[in-house]
Amino acid sequence: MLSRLFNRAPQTDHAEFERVAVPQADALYGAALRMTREPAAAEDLVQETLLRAYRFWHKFQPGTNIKAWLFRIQTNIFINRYRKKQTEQKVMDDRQIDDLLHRFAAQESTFIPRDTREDFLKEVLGDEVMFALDELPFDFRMTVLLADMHDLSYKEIADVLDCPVGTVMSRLHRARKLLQARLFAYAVERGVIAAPEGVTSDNVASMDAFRRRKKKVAN
Amino acid sequence: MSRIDCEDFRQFIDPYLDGEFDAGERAAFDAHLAVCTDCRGHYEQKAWFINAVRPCLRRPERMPPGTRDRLHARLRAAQKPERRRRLVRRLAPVPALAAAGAVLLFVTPLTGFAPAVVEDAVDQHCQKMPVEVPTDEALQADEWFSGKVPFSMATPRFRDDRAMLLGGRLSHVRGGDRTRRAAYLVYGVGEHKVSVLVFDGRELGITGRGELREVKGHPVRVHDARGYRVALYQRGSLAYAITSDLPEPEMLRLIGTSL
Repeated sequence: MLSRLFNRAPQTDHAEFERVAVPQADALYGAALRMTREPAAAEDLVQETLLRAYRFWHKFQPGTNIKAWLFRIQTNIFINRYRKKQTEQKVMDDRQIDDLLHRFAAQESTFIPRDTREDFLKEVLGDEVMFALDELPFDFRMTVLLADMHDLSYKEIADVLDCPVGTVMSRLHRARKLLQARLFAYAVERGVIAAPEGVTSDNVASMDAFRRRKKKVAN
Repeated sequence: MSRIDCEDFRQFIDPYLDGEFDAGERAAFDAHLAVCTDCRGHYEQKAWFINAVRPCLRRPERMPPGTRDRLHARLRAAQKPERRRRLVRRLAPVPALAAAGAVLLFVTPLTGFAPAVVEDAVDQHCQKMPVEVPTDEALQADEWFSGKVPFSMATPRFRDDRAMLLGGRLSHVRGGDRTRRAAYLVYGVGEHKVSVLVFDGRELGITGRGELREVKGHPVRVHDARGYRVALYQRGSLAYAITSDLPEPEMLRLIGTSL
């Protein structure tokens, strides 16, 4: 285990690696925090990612997206380490997500009226966005992270997550809907937006119940 | 692309917004948008939402300074290839005890509850915490710990081809009624991880539990705890707790190379 980290191909160009890959450490760390949700594990993950990148530096094609290449390595390490735990949770998550989407994400029910947008920006678009993101299932979270935080193309995201481009598209679609539904619910809770027809305060309360249930499952 | 309807538009609104389509495809979407009020409202809402959320998602995340230092230290260490190669060798078959040169005497088979130090040693061994000083030189580790631990540090030097120091960090060990500072070191021995906790052993001493062995005239107490072996011994005023999943004879032989 330990030795694997240090066993590398001999021809790595130190200077080039330092210039191209190492400056991405902060981006990797930010992504690692979203993946692991804890700083110690994120630190460990970034270290392993860059050590592996160093070892396989000869496989990086200059001119291609370095972020995409590094994210792919990091995602693979993360998935290999947490695969079992994650697949168990994914089944649960997908069902819950569908459940939630069904209830909240019909476009009509999460429509944010123009005249409430200013309040919405002020009240809801702060830390809540990150909370909402962190609650998404892993594949959804990663897709939003790669697309909306790091501007990767669908093709690049498909490479990182090892899935078809069509899957990236549908995940992004659902993930953004879900983010909007969550933030919409926050806004209703805070009185920024009036609960529209079909979304009663009971529904909003059950959003909290949903979160609690989800936390319980995750623990 | 042929004409698109509302259903197409809503299904592909994300790639349209994200600029995933080529000029021809875009034109078909633009054309639909120009004539459909419903989809225009839909599009406007979605575009507004994504643009509003993105800045919140993009607040840059910076590594804490300690995290950055440890990362750079590990990357520097990885850039010294020659020394590291030895590590990848597979663990050789466990050598016969006699050949290893360790004299082992079975004295008394005392077992019982492992003292707190054994628990601490296993805890430390299991944790996957990064090292604070990545080094393969005992001298460098000694220097790093100097002033950080309340004793004169002596990093074990295992005279074994397959054993290699990987680094260390500050740690602690429980003893008596308080917790005291300890130095934690991690070694690679073939494919095995070996952890060493070093602490002031004067008051703490080595408790009378565990199996008592003797290696080169030094008493060593060996405990089995949670699937690992923890060997405790003392040199001068310093106490050492060595933890690994190595077989006991191999572990004692390794300790012998440092005495």
